[in-house]
Amino acid sequence: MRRFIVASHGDLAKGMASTIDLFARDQKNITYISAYAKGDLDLDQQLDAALATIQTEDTAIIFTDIKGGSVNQKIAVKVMDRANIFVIAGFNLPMIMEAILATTPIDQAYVTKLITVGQQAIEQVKVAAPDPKLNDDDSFLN
Amino acid sequence: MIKALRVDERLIHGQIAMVWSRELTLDGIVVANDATAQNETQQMALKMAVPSGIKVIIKSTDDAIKLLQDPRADKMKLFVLVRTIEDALKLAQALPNIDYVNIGNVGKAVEAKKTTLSQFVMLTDAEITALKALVKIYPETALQNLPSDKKELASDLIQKMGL
Repeated sequence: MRRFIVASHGDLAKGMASTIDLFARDQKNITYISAYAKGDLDLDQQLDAALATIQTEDTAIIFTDIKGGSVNQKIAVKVMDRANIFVIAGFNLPMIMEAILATTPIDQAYVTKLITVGQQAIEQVKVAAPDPKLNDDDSFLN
Repeated sequence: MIKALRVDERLIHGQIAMVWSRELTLDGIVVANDATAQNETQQMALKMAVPSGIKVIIKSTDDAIKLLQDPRADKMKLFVLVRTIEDALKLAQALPNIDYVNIGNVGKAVEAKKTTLSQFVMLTDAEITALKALVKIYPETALQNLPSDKKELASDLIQKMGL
């Protein structure tokens, strides 16, 4: 099964859960971990519990918020001997959406592609003046 | 062919760009809305939301009907978006071959007395009247926010709620 973990410092991961729910409801294959947030369990306990649910026949991607953070460090060490688990630091919504909505098997090539998706989704926004030709029936229908 | 006609007051937005367009494998999106057809700024913003590889056109409801009656439209996989159920009814009356009439996000932005049909659909009396007429033309008309959500037949709701 394709599995995902989204992990962050504080409530970013919890916020991601609420955002993802607007686009893809009832995702049972994602776990969200908010580290060091008020009222949450110890990070090691949370991580170990989440990682224990990933079986050897599963493939998983763990999205962490920032490479230099302790969340990413702890995860990287915990999964370093597990070939079926990939870690991507610096997640964004388009990248996670793509991962959730696709059914492509998770392997090294897919992880590389997903990183490109996330990078290409970051762009400066400029509103283009409309080209009237683009709104005529013929250019739409042909 | 019209893969779906969706009523969505946000027209093209995240759910459309990321989820529905993927589900329906589209060639084009047709926005049928009189006010937007007159508003260049809004057109620019909407066009920005369209995923690459998918064509988009923004028309008044009358012009959208003309476009969709063109035989060439039959060869394209199209997703048609309107803002109100009254507009959906107008299109449904003119177009006999819509695969699926979908009620998505309606009424949250409308300030008037409304009846809540679901978390995402709140209708004025005029919209309810339009929905009843729409269901007569397309009995499979359903409330469904995301493709992964269960379809809820509008006709069942009308009956259940005594509308």
